[in-house]
Amino acid sequence: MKKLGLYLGCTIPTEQYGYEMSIREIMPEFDIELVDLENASCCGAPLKSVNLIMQMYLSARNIAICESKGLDMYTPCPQCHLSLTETKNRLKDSEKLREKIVKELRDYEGLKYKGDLNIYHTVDLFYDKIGLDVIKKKVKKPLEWNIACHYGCQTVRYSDAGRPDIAEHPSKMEKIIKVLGGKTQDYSEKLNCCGAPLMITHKESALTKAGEKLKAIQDRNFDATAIVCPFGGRMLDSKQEKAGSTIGEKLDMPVFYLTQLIGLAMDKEKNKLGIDLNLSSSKVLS
Amino acid sequence: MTDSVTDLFNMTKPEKDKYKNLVKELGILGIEPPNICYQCSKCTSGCEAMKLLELEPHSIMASAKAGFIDEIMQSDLIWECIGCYKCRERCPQKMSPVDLMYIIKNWSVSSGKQLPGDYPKILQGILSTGYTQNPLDVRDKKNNTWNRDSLGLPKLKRPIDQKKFTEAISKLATEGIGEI
Amino acid sequence: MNNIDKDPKIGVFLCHCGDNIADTVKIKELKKELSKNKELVVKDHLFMCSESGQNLILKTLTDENIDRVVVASCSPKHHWNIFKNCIQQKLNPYMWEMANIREQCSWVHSDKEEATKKALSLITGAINKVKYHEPIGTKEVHLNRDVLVIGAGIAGMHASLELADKDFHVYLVEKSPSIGGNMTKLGRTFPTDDCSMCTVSPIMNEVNSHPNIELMTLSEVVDFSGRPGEYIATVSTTPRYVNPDKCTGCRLCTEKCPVSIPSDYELGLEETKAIHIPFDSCVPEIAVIEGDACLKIAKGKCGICEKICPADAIEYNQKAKARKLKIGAVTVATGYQQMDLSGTEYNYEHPDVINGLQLERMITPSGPTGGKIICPSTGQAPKAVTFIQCAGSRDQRHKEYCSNICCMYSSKNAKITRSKLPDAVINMCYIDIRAPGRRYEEYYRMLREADVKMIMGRPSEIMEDQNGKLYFDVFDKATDKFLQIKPDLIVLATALEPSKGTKEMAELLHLQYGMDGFLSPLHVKIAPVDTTTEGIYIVGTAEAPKSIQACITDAASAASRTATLLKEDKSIIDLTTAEIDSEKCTKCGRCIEECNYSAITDDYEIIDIACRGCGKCVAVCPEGAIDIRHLTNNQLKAQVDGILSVDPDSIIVYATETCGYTAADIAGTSRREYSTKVKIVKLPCVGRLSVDDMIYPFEKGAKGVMVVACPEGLCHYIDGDAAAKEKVQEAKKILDKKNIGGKKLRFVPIVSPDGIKFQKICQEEAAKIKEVPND
Repeated sequence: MKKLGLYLGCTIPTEQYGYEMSIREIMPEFDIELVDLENASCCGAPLKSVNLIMQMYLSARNIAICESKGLDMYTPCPQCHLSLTETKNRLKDSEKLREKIVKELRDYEGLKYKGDLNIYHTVDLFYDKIGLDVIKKKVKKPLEWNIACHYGCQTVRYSDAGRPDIAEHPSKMEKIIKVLGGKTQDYSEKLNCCGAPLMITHKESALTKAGEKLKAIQDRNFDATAIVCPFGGRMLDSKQEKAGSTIGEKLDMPVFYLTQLIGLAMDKEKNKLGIDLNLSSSKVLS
Repeated sequence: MTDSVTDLFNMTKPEKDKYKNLVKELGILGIEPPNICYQCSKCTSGCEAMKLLELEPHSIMASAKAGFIDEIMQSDLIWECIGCYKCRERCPQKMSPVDLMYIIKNWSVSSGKQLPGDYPKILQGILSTGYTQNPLDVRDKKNNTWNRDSLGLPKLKRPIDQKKFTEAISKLATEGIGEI
Repeated sequence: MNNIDKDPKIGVFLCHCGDNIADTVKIKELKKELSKNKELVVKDHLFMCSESGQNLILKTLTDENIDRVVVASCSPKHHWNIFKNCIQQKLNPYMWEMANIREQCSWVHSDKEEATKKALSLITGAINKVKYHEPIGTKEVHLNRDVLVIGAGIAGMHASLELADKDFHVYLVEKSPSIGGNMTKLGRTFPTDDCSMCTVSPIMNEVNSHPNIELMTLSEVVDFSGRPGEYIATVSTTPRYVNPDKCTGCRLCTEKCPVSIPSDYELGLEETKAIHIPFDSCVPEIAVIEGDACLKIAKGKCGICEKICPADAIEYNQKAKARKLKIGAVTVATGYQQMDLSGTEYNYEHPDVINGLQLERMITPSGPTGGKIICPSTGQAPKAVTFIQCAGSRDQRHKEYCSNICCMYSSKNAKITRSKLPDAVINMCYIDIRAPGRRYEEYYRMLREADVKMIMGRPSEIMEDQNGKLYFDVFDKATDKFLQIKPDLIVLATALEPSKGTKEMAELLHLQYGMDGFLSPLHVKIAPVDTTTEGIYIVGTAEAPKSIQACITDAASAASRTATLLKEDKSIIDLTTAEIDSEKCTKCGRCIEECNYSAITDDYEIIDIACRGCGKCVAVCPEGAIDIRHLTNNQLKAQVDGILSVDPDSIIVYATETCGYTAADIAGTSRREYSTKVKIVKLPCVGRLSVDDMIYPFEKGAKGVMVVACPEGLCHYIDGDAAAKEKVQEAKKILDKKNIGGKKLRFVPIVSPDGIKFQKICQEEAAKIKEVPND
């Protein structure tokens, strides 16, 4: 049984409960024990524009907390994953920055930072650590739908930081979908942004982006969309109706978290996976 | 970059010191200075914010290169950046307009600019609770309401010493990279 | 064996180099200081390399009874031969030394006091060394006057013709089944817009029929050894499976062959058969069978071509052949290919996104589309074509460099597209347009006259909609507009890179190559076709992306250089080789084991022709019985003594002539500043250094020692770098035991163009000295 520190960030445990539920439901089947991290907080990603030192402190403190348990970290949110990974890299490369943050963590909160742990996201945890063969063995009810994969900006960019998948033509999600029994293909708009960060300052533009993304997927006759980001969930699922009315289109695209799809393929109970919490249609399930 | 250059439209001159600081802070983040940018406009071509909101990263880079940083600090356009990182990913000279804009946004905040949109709310949330928002009550497809408790999820873990946490964040919110 | 001149009279010549040196290094002060030493006659001149400077040297040598010389000026890599030719009019050509006070002093330091002190220390090192110089004589050696040209593209073919016309016997070795190279694939060439095949075909025919050219197609050099003037190249030839004397080129075999394979030549636009004639008007126009694809050869089935060939030319039993060629010189002309942009944001996987060479195949009347420009996905003519420049070039993520010819050839192709598709919308997305040659700017104007819409900006990615139709967004800086373009065909000006196998070829021939993979010339400006290996020349796009005209110039230049080297069948060589003192020699055999060139017989005699003068033998001799005449043990120690006597606060950098020293020179030409503590000592190879040589400077007060070697795999003497690296480890242990500290000794491999790294390591070592106060 491998133990991983579960770092959920802000959006998953306060809003996108379906993602969290499906994760907690399926992980034990893959021999992974998730340890909730006491003392955790926001990773600081939404505040990069406000103050980078503050943001890096916030990420560093969560790394220090996980390290103190002697665990590697699993964070299902790509924004958190980028903020944490980037902070870890920056502190490794800049003596000055490292000294500053380490000192502040020690002086204010008595936290010890080393920056040695591995940080996983859903995509690389399943593809690289768990592996397609293991996933395949657990499939009891193959999905059989045509599923579009939406990676999200921070899951694949920027490459230099080391991301769960490559920036051009990422394919790990597609490969996982295929072993779950689903069909999938590449589509040009795959790497387009869902608009989530724009919700802070330009709500209408953000919803336009989400709407256009969903429309593109819909036009390509996909049956459903797989996501691995709670912001993707917020924009493409929770706000699908609003997005549709913003761009003046009827949007009817079932959206699921990848972990929910894995759970469905393993024939787990729908209410344990939080399927009803997805506001988009679940017509594919019938 | 000297006093010999004047922007006749705005009657401003390049800011040598601000430029030096910009290069220094980018260096600490491991990013090369903007004078390497050769203005191919690939960043703007792919910019997710450009499509709807007219943010032109290549133009920001050019202004920063030339030292006209005050006008970037005061512009609202830089707040349109989504942070999708397409510019940094695809730049043939490994420039990072997105990170340059983060630094300049930081500067504008610390020199008194009011945080736009939902930023004050988000900042307040983190300062006082450790997270951007409190766990929400959500509705499902059948219009039932749920929360963490009713869904059987464990209680949200927060900073143990909220006071110390708030103190640390409040203090750091005023510190710049250039000062370390 | 090597004694000091007890009564030397040394001429010291200080060059101002205009103000290149004199601005930073106070020449007058140096002159004054040095003149205090009565052993020296000190002169200075504004430009010592000029005729009047050389006359000054000659006059001084005549008037003052001087027996040895030190010239303090620019890098020896620049003007060594000029000074040598001058000095040898009066003295033995080895009775002198150079001190590099420009590239390695005035150009990399700004503090005048410090720079002058360093110059004095380097000059003193040279003076001390030259006191131990002894006259080195010559010997006559045989030269083989046959030559090898590797690669039969335009550069290789032209070099072969020039050499053949000079009556050399030329072996022209070509990897593919036909000669001609990439130029045969082009439609037209800039800036004259003449037909490429019409230009290159007569050259191919001339090559094929020239009595002095021996053509070997389907052949590659697989082994290489020897010395300048006597190289041995082993060439391996894969079987054609067709008898060249019988095949008439009728193409009946191709028609009937049941196996289709992708055609490399047509770059994916068309398929060919397992047996085929390489292309129309190829030379030799003989069929070739792709052995792996052929059913008969791979699986023992079919055999149709043999049955139907009217000339009975098919020979399935042909075997690979190897042949040893004895040559005096080699010209490397291995050419280029376009890089593969699969897996990038350019969407090269889409059939209607093509590169420059693929468009050329469409434009050529004999190509797969009969001269029509079409969209590969539909076979229809495009209504909108976009050219995208700098695809992969000028890009830190792919190729840092500019590919030189793309602006011109894309302009040509855009003009041709306009003439073939008068109503099409033609766009070109660019960053800059580079048109620097004769009639190039006028050509660019013709492009604008052809109503090609120039877009000053480049797309971030190439997308396709759900019907597979291409589109992309681009910001046009000229109009300040954000445009969406939906072309039917996209042509990428994809970066040029060295052809497959260039790196392996370079390592086989011990040639330097840059970080970009292209072969490095000896000196980019003044020796552009020579390499660090005498007798091996590089031409054409193997060296860098360039136009056809530049390839021809290179080829003629290399032929001329070859003819100079091999003008007779013998040459006088300098005895800058090893020498054994039989009284000290205990016949332990370590030198014989160490020598890579079998230059020491079992009777402990030196074979001068084979000896490369690397000094690896010297480094392992426990008795000091073997030495190399041009860098004896005494000379090396004396140089270090001299440097440290003026400035003990020094970091002695032993640098290899080809790479380390050149990198230091490049740091100089790029004016990359570093600490004056760094004092560079030139060696033919770091393999020359014994463990003792590495420790010696510390015993004389040095604060650090660096051994800067050629990169792994590129040692000019095969493994001198590895030998030195091992000795560095040993020396470090000894330094630790002596409480000096092994950390102060450092081994660094470096490529010759890397002036940036050279600066970095100097700064790192200088910083170390600051951290640890003198103990």
